[in-house]
Amino acid sequence: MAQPLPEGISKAQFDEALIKLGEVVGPEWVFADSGGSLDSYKDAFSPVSEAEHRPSAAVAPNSVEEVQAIVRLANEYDLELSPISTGKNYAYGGPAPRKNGAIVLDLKRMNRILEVNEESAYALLEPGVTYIQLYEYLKENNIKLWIDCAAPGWGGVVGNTMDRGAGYTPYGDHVVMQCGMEVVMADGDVIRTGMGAMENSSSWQLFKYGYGPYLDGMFTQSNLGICTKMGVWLMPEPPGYRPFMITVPNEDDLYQLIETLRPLKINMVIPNAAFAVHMVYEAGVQAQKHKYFTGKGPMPPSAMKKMGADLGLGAWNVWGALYGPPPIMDVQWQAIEGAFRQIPGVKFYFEGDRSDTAWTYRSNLMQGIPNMTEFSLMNWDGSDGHASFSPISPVTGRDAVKQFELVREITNRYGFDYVGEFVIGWREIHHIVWMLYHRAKPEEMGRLQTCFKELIDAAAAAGYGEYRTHLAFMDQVKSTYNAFDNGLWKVNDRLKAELDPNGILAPGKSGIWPQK
Amino acid sequence: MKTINVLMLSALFALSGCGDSDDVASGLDAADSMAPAAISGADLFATHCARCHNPGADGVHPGTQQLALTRGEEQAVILQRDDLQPDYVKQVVRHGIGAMATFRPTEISDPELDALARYVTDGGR
Ligand SMILES: Cc1cc2nc3c(=O)[nH]c(=O)nc-3n(C[C@H](O)[C@H](O)[C@H](O)COP(=O)(O)OP(=O)(O)OC[C@H]3O[C@@H](n4cnc5c(N)ncnc54)[C@H](O)[C@@H]3O)c2cc1C
Ligand code: HEC
Repeated sequence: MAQPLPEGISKAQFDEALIKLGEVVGPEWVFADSGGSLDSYKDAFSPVSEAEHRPSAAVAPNSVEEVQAIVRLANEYDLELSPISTGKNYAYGGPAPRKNGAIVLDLKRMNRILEVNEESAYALLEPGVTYIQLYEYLKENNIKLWIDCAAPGWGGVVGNTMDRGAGYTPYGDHVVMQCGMEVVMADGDVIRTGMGAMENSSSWQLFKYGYGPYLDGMFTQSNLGICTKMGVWLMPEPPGYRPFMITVPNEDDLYQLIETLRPLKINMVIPNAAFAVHMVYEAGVQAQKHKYFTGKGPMPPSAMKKMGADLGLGAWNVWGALYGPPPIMDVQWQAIEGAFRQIPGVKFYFEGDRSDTAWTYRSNLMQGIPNMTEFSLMNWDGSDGHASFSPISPVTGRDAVKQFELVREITNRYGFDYVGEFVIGWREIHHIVWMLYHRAKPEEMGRLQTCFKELIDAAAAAGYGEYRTHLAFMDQVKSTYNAFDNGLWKVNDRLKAELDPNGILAPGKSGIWPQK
Repeated sequence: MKTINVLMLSALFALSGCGDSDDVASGLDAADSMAPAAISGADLFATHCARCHNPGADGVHPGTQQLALTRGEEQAVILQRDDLQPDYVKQVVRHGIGAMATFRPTEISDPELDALARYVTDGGR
């Protein structure tokens, strides 16, 4: 694969810049060997040709000072830096840059757990700390705090939060649980947000807002700064934990299911995100499609019926958990069970009732035990690529059904299974739809791309926008947030021009392009 | 309601009781002592590979499951294989294969990858 160069730079300038970068981090931490180590910076699951999101090089600093020095070099040599933390952003682009030829600024080596405060239940982390590392650190040191991880344990707190990811315990809204950042700006200056702006702050990880404008959100899903430290609140290990699964028999039960969940979520009776998972998603982590359907295209309802019966799955499968002293969990469960009993054919499962893969990994995730099981979903039909389509929905039966029908109709029409889950947060749903595909089949990849674009436009036409998207669709998703003549993006562009006038940071992230 | 309040409080106290701040690693200067020093092939495998390649093809471990499907049950557990060569393992780790994505040199350095590939091809010894 030919190696791209940063835009507007000659090979000689590029080579000189690489030497300079090597002087900062040590030459062994600069990767520009196309076909060698640099290949590990591709998006291995890309929904478009990998060649569209190839870095020219990667550079891996080990300290904030090195990050600052790299940023200054980037301004001098006109380089473009695409920061990643743990760099496992699969489904949305992996470690690859939005813009071809950008240099990946790989912060993985900065992987120190700087502080864990058990009394006040927080940690201060560098970007390279993985969920697995933090989890094991807490265990080894017998610290009674839980982490909240995304489904793949190899990601990390900082990177996932910077892309506004979500998890499975009551601390699952990662931006909400983030408290304080250190950020290297595009000119090389360093700031700390919130209380961290005080020289001798006593409460950087305790109070998010500090004084004056609250900037943390501005650095997420954006390209205005490089986060080099982040505070995160950790959940004290509760005195009791009760995961549960609730199945309903019919796809049409979705309406009542969501109506049932809304008050339980808004009133915090279910403290973690409740998941309503479609049968194919739940089956997909443990079974293979060809066992139930050998035809072409999406699995028909008749095959699903048989599969659901075999695997003990409902058309929809609800997951949640209770945390706390048993008497409190008893009362909460009474409310939950009473509400769900109204749905004909509903079934309830608790710890010990089932030992299938779905139960194992979800009950682990809901207590912050990192694992990698969800990748088995790719074994459903032997796919080697996937990207997620992730629109937001109100928590109403009407909207959930509308989104489900809209997305299923489009995905099925293009020959793909609907593989989706509704993640019910406090007042909205993250509807996560897995697009699974075989990257060596050009015809299928063409269908996939058209399908993805249609999904984004159709959702937008119905008033639904994505919470996050893959590199390849960032510009399109941006164009759907177009109120007031793209007013939001005009402000984002002005911020970009002011804070990063040379356009060195992650050009094109979230559709924000430098004007240079 | 009263009982519940008391219960909640005592539960909370029980929790914070174990949080003696002297035990807590605090302050930025503690940083280096907390950097992980995974170096042996076994440690590297446990950190980076085991969650996908441990035995059990029921889907809990996606690597084992996919290898069972594509190569057969006999070949499913990579630590039990005698046909894998170190260079191949290194190739797979850096460039990915099927549903296994890549590992960057910042996650597993070249010397670490040598140790890991030896560990895998020596059947986990
Ligand atoms: C099987 C599967 C299941 C998944 N399940 C979940 C899930 O449950 N929840 C979820 O949220 N996601 C999920 N994802 C998506 C994704 O894989 C995770 O969100 C993952 O945690 C992101 O990778 P990371 O943590 O290594 O972040 P990174 O890849 O390090 O960062 C993600 C992005 O954030 C920005 N960024 C990162 N670091 C910085 C920085 N220091 N400064 C500025 N910007 C920065 C960059 O744009 C970067 O591309 C899933 C994906 C797969 C394949
Ligand atoms: C996300 C899960 C995942 C992780 C983590 C993972 N693998 Fe894999 N691995 C897979 C899958 C899935 C396959 C099967 C690919 C296929 O069918 O072609 C595989 C295949 C392999 C193969 C090829 C075997 C063959 O028969 O060709 C090797 C070697 C391998 N992995 C080594 C490793 C090592 C070493 C690590 C740790 C650094 C690792 N894997 C981490 C999922 C994973």
